[in-house]
Amino acid sequence: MNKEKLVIFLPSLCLIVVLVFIPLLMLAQKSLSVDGTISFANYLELFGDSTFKKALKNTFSISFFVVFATLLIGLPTAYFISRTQGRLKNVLLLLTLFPLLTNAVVRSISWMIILGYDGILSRLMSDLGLIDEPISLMYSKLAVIIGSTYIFLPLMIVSLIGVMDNISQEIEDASISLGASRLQTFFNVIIPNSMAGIIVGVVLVFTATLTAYTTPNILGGTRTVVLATLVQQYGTTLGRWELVSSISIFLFALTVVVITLINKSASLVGGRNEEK
Amino acid sequence: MKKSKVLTIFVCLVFFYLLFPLFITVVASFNSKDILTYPIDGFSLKWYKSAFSSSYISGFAISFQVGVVATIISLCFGVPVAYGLAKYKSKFTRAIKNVFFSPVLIPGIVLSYSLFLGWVFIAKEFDTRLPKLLVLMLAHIIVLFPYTIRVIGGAFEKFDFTIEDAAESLGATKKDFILHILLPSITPAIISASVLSFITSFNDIPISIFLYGRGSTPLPIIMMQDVEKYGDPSVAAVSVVLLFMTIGITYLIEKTLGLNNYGR
Repeated sequence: MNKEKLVIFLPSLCLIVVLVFIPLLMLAQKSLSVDGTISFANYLELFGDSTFKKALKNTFSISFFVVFATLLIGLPTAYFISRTQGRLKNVLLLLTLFPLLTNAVVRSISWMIILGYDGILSRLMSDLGLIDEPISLMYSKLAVIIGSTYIFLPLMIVSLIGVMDNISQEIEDASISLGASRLQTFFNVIIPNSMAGIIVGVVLVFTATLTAYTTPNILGGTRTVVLATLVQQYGTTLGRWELVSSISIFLFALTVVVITLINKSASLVGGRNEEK
Repeated sequence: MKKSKVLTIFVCLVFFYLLFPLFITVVASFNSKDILTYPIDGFSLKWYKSAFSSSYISGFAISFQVGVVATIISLCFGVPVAYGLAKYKSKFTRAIKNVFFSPVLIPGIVLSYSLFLGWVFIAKEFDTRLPKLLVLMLAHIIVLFPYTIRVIGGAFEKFDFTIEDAAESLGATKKDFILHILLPSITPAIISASVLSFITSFNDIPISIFLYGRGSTPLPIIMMQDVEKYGDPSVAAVSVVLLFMTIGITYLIEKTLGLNNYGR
């Protein structure tokens, strides 16, 4: 190893080791120790904890729903934007990216107004005669799903546009001139050719929802707990610090496993190869 | 090209879904009563007065400082690494690339808690309480680092490294090469990495959750706490101010770099 490489890489390696690896090892060590001896007691307690089980279930079901919803909404939208040209395309891209640049609190406040007691949705439903009394959807699982879908939709759209831009118009025209309908073309030509972007989008949105803290905290509160909010609630609010370390390690491991699994299954299907 | 009507209507609805909530926040910030509702009961500007109250202003100052410092330091670490990863392509660099991207895999709140443990450890073993502001900055550097490498790395991928040998054989020193050839050729990437990093740091909440202290609470956390406690329209007013700041930044990105370079 020459001197230049050392000068280039060593400072940053030290940075990562000191600020990421060592703290993570301390976290792992803390999660495995009870009164100074090594023990799995914290994990056993965690897996028997009913709130944890609920949070785990919530986290997974919310993440699945959000991935599904963002794909459902994102695919046609990204296709539309990729097939738009000139100024309009820039405007649409700008409008898609803009929400990504504002913080999650700003973006969640409006959902409190929409989903809260006697809020916009409640009034709309009573106008339609669906409900008799004002209701609140806040702190429900549905609220977290709606809010997270809203927050992560731009991420999905941006990932999809990247690949859809590269699908040439000629392939589409060929499909249509051979007698396929627009819908058939979309499902049999556009979607298979967008697989790389779909996988990137799914990984991004799934892991983002899996580890999201702000939106579930504001819209789910203590009633719809997910793993990330449980870390904070068991820590700063309830003082059950012995469990905080094990939940943290669990959440970290879960993220790594999920990313690896999606990428592995993707390369099996033949979607994404090595990074370009 | 022709597009089906159904698709056009669908996309209009999607953009309504993306933008209507922001519109609601803007309207709600002008309410005369102290509740967050839509439509509002009467018009008032008083929440903008409280938006510029001391707690929000100091939160803004903290977030701004942390954002600027973390952006600059992550650039100082990230630029050489991005250069090295593009220049030397070997098994070794591919392996350490994973090390440098590892922070992406760690949920923000987990990283926050592990750094908090580090802070506690130093307080116990060395009897030194590190300033919370410093720890916040360190945490944000870690979060920004992979983004910086990715954006800057994109520019170095297109860089022709034979220029380096040419410059050397013509008598340029390493310093000349870096200052007059290397850095100027990646200036656009440095600008976009800086903007992206600053916004990411300024908006991030999970990474700060276990690390802020009294007098060093970032703005988004102050806003979140206010939303949890009560929800008067002053938070909406702060949001509107931030929205305009974001519009300004977006406009700048569009003017200087073009949006197509952003977020890819």
